[in-house]
Amino acid sequence: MDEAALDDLFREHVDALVRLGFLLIGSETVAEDLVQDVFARLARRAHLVEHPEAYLRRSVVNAARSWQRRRRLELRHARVEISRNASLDARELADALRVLTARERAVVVLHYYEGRSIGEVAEVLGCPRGTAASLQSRALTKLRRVIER
Amino acid sequence: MTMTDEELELRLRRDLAELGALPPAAPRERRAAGRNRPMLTMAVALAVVLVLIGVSVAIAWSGDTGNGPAGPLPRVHTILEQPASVTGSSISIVAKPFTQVCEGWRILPSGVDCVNLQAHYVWSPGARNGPYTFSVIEDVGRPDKKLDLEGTVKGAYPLFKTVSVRGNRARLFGMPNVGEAGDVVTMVWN
Repeated sequence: MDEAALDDLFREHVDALVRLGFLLIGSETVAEDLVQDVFARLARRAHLVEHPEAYLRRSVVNAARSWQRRRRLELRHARVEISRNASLDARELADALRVLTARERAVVVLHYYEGRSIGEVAEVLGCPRGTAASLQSRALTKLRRVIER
Repeated sequence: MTMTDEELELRLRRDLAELGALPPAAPRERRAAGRNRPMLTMAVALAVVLVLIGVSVAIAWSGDTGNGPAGPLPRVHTILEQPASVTGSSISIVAKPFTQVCEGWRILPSGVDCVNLQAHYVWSPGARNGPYTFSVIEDVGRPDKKLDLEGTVKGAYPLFKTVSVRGNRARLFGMPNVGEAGDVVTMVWN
């Protein structure tokens, strides 16, 4: 992949990947940084990557999970960055998402936001389909408990 | 009332779509969120700022630029007072006498082409790194003010550090050329 192709890829996907990262993490500023790092990694190994878009999405999900692992305690107390234009329901959901583990949250976002099938989600997460389905089920149970509280 | 699975899933789709589609939170909102941090965090931040101001005043007074005894002494002149204007790949800076430090960054004057942008980071009193040369410096959230090498792909550079200057985030991309001699120069704008 030459520089121009990488440039196009960046312009085409950066916004969507930042939104994905934001939903996975709850912080737009952190999401921007993670996505930037992901593109930097892609640039270094572009010749090895067969499907750059899939690589980018998977890398963002993995980077978000790594970040969440490192910042678990901080996340528990952090405020979610949400625009004031967000509805009450959306704000409530953003808060509720914090009770999920990184993998559960990734399943929810990839399945319900990006519209990916559980099989595709499992592929992105690098786990068996049954595991993804189980994560989804656990996530829904937790979310229901928080939302109905 | 208990939600059915379908209702919950519907709500997830709807609300996630809304959250994902919203425009980014404005910098003012981010700062407002920062004000809600616990008092302890704010107190620590205030203490750090006071220490930095004290150190900067001491350095400015003594004339020590703090580049370490072995290295050349870069001239410490002024701090950026006005927002730099960005035109194409170059910037111009209006500067005033050095009076303060912005969260660890010492802002020095220059009207430089961004190809040669350098930044000097003060890690702690008496211990410094740099000057560094960065490939790209970007004002986050304001792509119109991005400083970029002509024809350079921003995504091709690793993020070196995100810093805060006067409440705005600036991101430095690329690996620094540690130990490069010469005047310390940087840019950051309002």
